[in-house]
Amino acid sequence: MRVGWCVLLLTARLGACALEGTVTDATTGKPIPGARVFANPQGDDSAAAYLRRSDAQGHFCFERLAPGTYHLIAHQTGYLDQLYGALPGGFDGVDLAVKSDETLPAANLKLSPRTIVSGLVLHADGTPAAGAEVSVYRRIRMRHGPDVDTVANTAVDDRGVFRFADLTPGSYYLAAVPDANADLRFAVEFRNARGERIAEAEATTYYAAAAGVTGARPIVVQPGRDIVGLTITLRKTPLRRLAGRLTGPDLPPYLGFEFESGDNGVPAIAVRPDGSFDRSDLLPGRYTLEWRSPTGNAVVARQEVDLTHGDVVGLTVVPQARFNVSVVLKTEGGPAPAARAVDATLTSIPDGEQYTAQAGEFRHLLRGAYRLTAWVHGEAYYLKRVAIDGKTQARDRLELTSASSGPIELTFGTKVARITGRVEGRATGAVTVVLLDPGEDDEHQPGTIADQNGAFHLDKIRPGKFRLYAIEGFDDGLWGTPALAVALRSVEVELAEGDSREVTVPLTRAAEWKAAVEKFAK
Amino acid sequence: MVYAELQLFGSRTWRLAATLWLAVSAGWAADPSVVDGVVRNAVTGIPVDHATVRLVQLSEEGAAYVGATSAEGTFHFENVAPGDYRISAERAGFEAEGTDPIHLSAGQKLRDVTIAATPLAVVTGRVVDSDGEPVPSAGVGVLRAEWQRGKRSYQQSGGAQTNEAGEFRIAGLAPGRYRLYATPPGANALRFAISEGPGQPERRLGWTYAPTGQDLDGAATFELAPGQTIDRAEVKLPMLPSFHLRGKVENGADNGGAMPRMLVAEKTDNGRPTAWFAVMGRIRKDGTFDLGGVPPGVYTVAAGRFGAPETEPLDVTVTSHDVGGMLLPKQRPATVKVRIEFRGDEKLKHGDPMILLNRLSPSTFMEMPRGPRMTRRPDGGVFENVRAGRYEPVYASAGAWHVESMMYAGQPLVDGAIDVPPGADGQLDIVLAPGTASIAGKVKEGAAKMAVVVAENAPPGNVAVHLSELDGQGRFTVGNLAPGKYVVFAIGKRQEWPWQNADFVRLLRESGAFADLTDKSSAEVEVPVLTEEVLRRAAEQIP
Repeated sequence: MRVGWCVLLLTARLGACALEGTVTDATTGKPIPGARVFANPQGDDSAAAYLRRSDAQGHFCFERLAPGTYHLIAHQTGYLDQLYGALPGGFDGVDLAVKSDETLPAANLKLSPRTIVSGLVLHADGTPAAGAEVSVYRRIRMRHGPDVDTVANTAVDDRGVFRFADLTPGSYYLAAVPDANADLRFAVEFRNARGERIAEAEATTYYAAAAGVTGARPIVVQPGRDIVGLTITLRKTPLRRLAGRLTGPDLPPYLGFEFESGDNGVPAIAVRPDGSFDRSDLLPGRYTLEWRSPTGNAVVARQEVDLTHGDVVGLTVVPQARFNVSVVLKTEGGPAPAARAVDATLTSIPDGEQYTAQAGEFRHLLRGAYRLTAWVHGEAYYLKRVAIDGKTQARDRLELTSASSGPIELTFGTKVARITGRVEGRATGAVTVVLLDPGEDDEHQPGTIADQNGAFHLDKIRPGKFRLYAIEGFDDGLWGTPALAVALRSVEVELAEGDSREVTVPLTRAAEWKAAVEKFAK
Repeated sequence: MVYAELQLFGSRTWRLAATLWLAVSAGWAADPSVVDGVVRNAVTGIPVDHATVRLVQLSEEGAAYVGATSAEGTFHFENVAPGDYRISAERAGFEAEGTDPIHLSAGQKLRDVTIAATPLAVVTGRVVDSDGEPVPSAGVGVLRAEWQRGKRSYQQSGGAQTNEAGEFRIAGLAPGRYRLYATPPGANALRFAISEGPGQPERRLGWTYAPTGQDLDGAATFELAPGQTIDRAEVKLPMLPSFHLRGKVENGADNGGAMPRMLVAEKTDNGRPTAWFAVMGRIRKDGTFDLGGVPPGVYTVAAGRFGAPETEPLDVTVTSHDVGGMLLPKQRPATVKVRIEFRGDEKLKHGDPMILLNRLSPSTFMEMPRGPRMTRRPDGGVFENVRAGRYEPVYASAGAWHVESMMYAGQPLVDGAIDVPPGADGQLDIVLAPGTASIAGKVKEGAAKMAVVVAENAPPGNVAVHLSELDGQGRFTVGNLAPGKYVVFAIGKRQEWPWQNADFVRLLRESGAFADLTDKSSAEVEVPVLTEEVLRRAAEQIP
């Protein structure tokens, strides 16, 4: 009789949680007692979360939850915060839909022990490089080839110490960036204590002592295996010289000078009355020179200069015939967007210089071909048509020769499309639904994360042809090559204006995704 | 050395020897100029190694040199072009210091330049929650009392975020008296307001001053000496009841823009803004908002975008329940007309009078706290698009005129300031009278760097406090003064003291020099030097 009574109680208890699960250590599998588990309602920033603590067996139980969608997050000192369904320490979690008459399957959270990565940044003389910054990068694959993605950065403290505690397991590169060069002045170069030209300056140094990612030593972050005592001594790089002259009237007192690698550079170069300029304290790298008319500030010439591998002497800069082209906005099927919410950009082919429309016009354009992109902040619009003089243009290649090449008419459509769907197949981790737009230069959008039943929806899609992928454990930085996109399972969908479509997307499991990435992304 | 031998022969010969020495150096014009010196720790006197020393000419286009101190703290520059230079030294852990302008002539050898660098202090500690668990990514800051227009205000002087163990380290602090506060993290799981279940009361990890407390006046102060490291031990963040602010923005629906539209509720403490304790949230597209996680207190609420506030600040008190039905009024700028009358017939010589409107009210959303600019009109000028708030009008032209009287909306100014209500146009009536006065003086004895000239009874609109650097002989001149009575002080270092505070000046009055320029146009004074201790004691006595 007593036994029967206990069993009854146990069953009743099992059914008494709207949402429950277990918190364990991802490396040992052991339960973590006393962890904080938050059920955070989605969709309403102002709603409070619910909090439970895991018991001695690591078990937690939310008895009642108002119907809605939730994210589960576990927090425990010594571990990375873990979002249910996400990669260890990741940000893409699974939506848990709570309905009043359903019990969800157990949501188990596996917490990754934190890994500390710390060390020192020093000047060549051994003193701490206070004011420097350390950045953490990981290798990713982009369409144009391998690249690095910044994962974290931190300032170095007064003792030269840096410390990272939020890195998720993986392989990374560290780089120390020296403090902005206080010796840079507008017009005049500093000389050293003997009155001579300064020949070198501190430059970004990758651990352990490299100038770039090639030659850098990666660090491998494993859960709970701290990496301390890393020392990066800032290296010196020879400074470059740029000398030349401006030809033509309208000589300015200074040439604007933009350093492609950041703002740690000379802001301007003084121009002598005869139009010549000469400066020798420049960090190696790529720069853009800008000659602006002293009267009226129009851009007279813009030129790229590459000082990466050596000095550039004898450069001649000639005025370029630049012109402005105006932009006109039209809307079909709905109210027009606010002008200042519209972002229109021209990118010149082939050098990739970008021009953003300001106050209804593109300014300082040079004769040539451009690619146009335009979008509206936060709103359900899509660029439907680009026309000049009523004739539709290919937005991938606009030929602009003078001010009369415009005005460029941008027509925005309001009847966007929508996809609701399900992922076919059961996954244990978060499944990202990826939308690939072959027309948009193979640009993809990691669209959304499917909920625990595999349901998802994508809104505000422009009409066109697309491919949909459902990838477990997706990592946007590894998407890379078109070959990868072809190799993975997908479904094609064609959307017309205002369409609302139901689609089933086949699942690519985490192991398959990883294998495909290894194979196609070299 | 030649010089030492000649010294035996008396003062006249000394002068001759000095002249000879200079003549000989000038003759060595081909010889490079040299600057030698040492950087020392201002407290211990120990030389500072590996400090960066810069010689920079006063003009932007002049020559500049950079070097480092040796292991013995010494620096040596040669081949320096002649000119006027400032020499500065900096090193992590020290306050950057510079010398006064030094003239370097051709072939001159300037030796024994000493720069005293003040070491900076460090504060460390740990932030935990009400269970004693470390709080990662908590915000920690230190506050210093500073003077703004003669009134005490607290400014954040340094800050840091805690690491994963709740530890923080704030370095680079100048010596002084501080308070410390800690705020909950904004980005990890501990930021959530939590409740037991639907419809239950909400609470959240809240902010605090160290060691505990929600009010500035109750916060403990601590002194930091130069170069000191202090451990503030544990600061515990309290669990506070939290409530919602609900309402809408008068402007209504979003009219577009790149940045998100935000709502900020900043805590006020006895009427003083304490922007380090704030709760932020989004405004919905239709202009309504629901900001959760707000602990009890008095707040100033405003909506807008980064760099562009949209609404007038609204005060709200949160006690023990949610606040609903709030309406944030949109900004209604006003127009302030300026009418200038010239006493006497000397209008022809007035030039173009310019009035500045200095904004005194706090600004939100990181907008630039610049005042509006005056557009000139034939009878004075006009300020357009003046945001509601408190302003200080100042007559700024350097001419031979001073402000005789200033009225706003038919009323005299209170405390030298005007309050512009939203959308309420008004007029500033200014009467300018000819004649300005000047005070020339010198320091009685002792080392001083600045002269401070404080007006005792000048009408509002005239600059009330004038600061002037002393020249090499301890002399100064201050001009463009309105007729009236003045007190003059000399102080050792350039520091912020509440000279605009009448109580402060009254306490020090007897230690200054008086100049009565009511009927005279110039006066000569001899000024005693005020020590830092005397100034500090007087400042402590002001409320």
